[in-house]
Amino acid sequence: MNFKIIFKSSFILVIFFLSSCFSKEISVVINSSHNNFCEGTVFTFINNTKKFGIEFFIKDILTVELTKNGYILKDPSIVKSFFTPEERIRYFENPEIALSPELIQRLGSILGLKWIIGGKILEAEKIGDYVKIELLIWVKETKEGRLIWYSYYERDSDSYRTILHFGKISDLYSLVDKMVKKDIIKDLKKVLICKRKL
Amino acid sequence: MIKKWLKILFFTIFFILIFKIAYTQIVIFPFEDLSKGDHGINFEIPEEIAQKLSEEGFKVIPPKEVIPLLIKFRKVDFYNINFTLLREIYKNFNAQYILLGSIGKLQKEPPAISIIVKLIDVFTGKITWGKSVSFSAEDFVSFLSLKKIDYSYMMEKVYKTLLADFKEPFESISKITPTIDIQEVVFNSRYLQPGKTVECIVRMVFSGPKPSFIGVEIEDNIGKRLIPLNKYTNERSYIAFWKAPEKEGRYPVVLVVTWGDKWKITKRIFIGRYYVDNTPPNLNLVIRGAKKKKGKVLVKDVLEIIPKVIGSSISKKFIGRGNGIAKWQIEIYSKNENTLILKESYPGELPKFLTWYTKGGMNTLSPGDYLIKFKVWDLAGNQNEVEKEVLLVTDPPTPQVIVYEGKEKDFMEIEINKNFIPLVRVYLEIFSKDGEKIAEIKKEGKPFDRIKKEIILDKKKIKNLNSLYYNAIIEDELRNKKILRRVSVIVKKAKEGPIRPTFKTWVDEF
Repeated sequence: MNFKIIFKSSFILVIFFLSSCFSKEISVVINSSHNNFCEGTVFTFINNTKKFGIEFFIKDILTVELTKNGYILKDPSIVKSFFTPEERIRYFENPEIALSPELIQRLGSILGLKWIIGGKILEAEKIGDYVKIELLIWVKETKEGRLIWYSYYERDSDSYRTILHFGKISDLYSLVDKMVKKDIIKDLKKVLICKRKL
Repeated sequence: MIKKWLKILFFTIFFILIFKIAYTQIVIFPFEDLSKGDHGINFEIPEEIAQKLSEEGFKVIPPKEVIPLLIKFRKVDFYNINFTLLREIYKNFNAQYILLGSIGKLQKEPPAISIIVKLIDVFTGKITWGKSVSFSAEDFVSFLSLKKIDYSYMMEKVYKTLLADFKEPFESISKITPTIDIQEVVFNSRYLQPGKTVECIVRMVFSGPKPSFIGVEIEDNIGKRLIPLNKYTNERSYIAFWKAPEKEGRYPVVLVVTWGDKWKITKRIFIGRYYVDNTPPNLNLVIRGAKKKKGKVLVKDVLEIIPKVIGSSISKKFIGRGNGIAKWQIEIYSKNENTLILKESYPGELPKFLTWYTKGGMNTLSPGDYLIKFKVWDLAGNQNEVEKEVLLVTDPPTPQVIVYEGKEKDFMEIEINKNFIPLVRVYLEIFSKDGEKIAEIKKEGKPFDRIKKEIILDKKKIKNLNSLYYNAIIEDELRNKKILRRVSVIVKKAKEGPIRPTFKTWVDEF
């Protein structure tokens, strides 16, 4: 009997450790009282790399894919037009600090947004046919301006390869496109629960 | 009865058709082209999309027709929108949607593209439809590479994929409310003393009918009140004045715009805040490297002043929020000469430190007592001043080496007078004309105040007292160092009578 329990427990432990080893991202979910996360916006990601433009592309692709999945999104440029001139400058200079809980709450109440998505591109490189991207993505709710979820993603040319060279990606934008459509949206849907009939 | 229902049906269809003709236009903006760097624009793809959509029966306004309006609104980019622009789009083109696009990558050989398009509702600013397409060379790899793919083939595939599920959502439109776009908000100062006048200038653009009231809502000790905004220099700028409240704190300012008549709308937009501050900045002056001795602040050859503002209990809430220093002033007085030797004032934040090399060129300061006065003004105009007295000691004392010439014996007296700063090192050597060392004094370690030594000289050996000289290194506790080379010994005639008692060893009196 005991042997069986020990065997079962060790089997579960082994499976747990193996799954941890193969996992490519770290996600953290912070419980929130909100559960009707239908409306929101995606802000341009902070780009810590030299690859200009990828930050706008991620923002746009996330916006479009979330819309396709039934979420109601406001264009971020419209949301930013509700910043005060002072806040605009602060956001331009330091987007991480400028997006204070107070500002998030205000945007939420004016525009009816329930969440704001943002993030940071940590690495984006292309060496020959090899491409790699590393990014952090976060979701903040607008009721209190708190962080409710964040995750780290790391993908490269071979992340979506199937057999032989099929599915191998040699272009950064294609990699971002795949990553958003296949993984990020799936994870976001678990966090942004929208009760509205889609 | 049937006739009546047929009539209703006819009018319903008629109104739906009229409604569709009147409102379902799509304005296509030039696309943002990130592959061309910052502010890159693409006209070809949106023009082609416009063509394809109109072939499908959609009513579209191509990018080139939109540009004059965007220029009128001074839009330097074609992808950042706001409600005023959306309203103008509706007003000028009778359009319900705008189509924005962004190109991440565009390459002809080998063909590759990454493109995103989104359809935005001009009434709500919401994205109602969107699509992204990403093709790279790998996506067109055919079996054994039998089929060569070129750019035009790829683009056809792009348009087909992009517009495959293009749908134009139709919603009932009752009215589009007037909008306001705030372009600039300027306060005469964000930080004020109680009772001072707050001036707030707002530059804004309206789309729609003129508002019946424009003002700012403020809250102070009197309560919540509305201050009207009056026209300022041009038709876009408005100004309002009011007195800052007595109580210290931060006060929000909300723009209130009302449209009367049929609209009956009031829009309230937070435009900023100002701070009432009556607490002078808490200033502290630190003299770096100084030593405190017997109640005096001692400084050696470099005078380094570090001014710092520290938050007091009242003004703490402003620190870090930008209530910085508007102006500062330094004055240095020589107490010995009773004169002002420096007075400088500068606008802006406090310097991290101020350094005066007291031994260098034109700025040389003679040793003595100095008074440093430092004044600061914060952004609200509150002033504070601190003073600090320092004693500048740039050199250790010079030793006195005297030879008394007697009839029978000569003796030498070496003395370093009591100094305000204790000495930590003395090394003194006395030489004859031929370079022969006659005597030596060496002491270092614990600080000492004074040295006195008497040596009896051998008359047979030293015949010419006038040719004696000494070398010395003297260092005080502040690490001021004096190096003396080949300094002549002073020769004096000894007084008649018995010679003074001599000391075989040197004596420290303290």
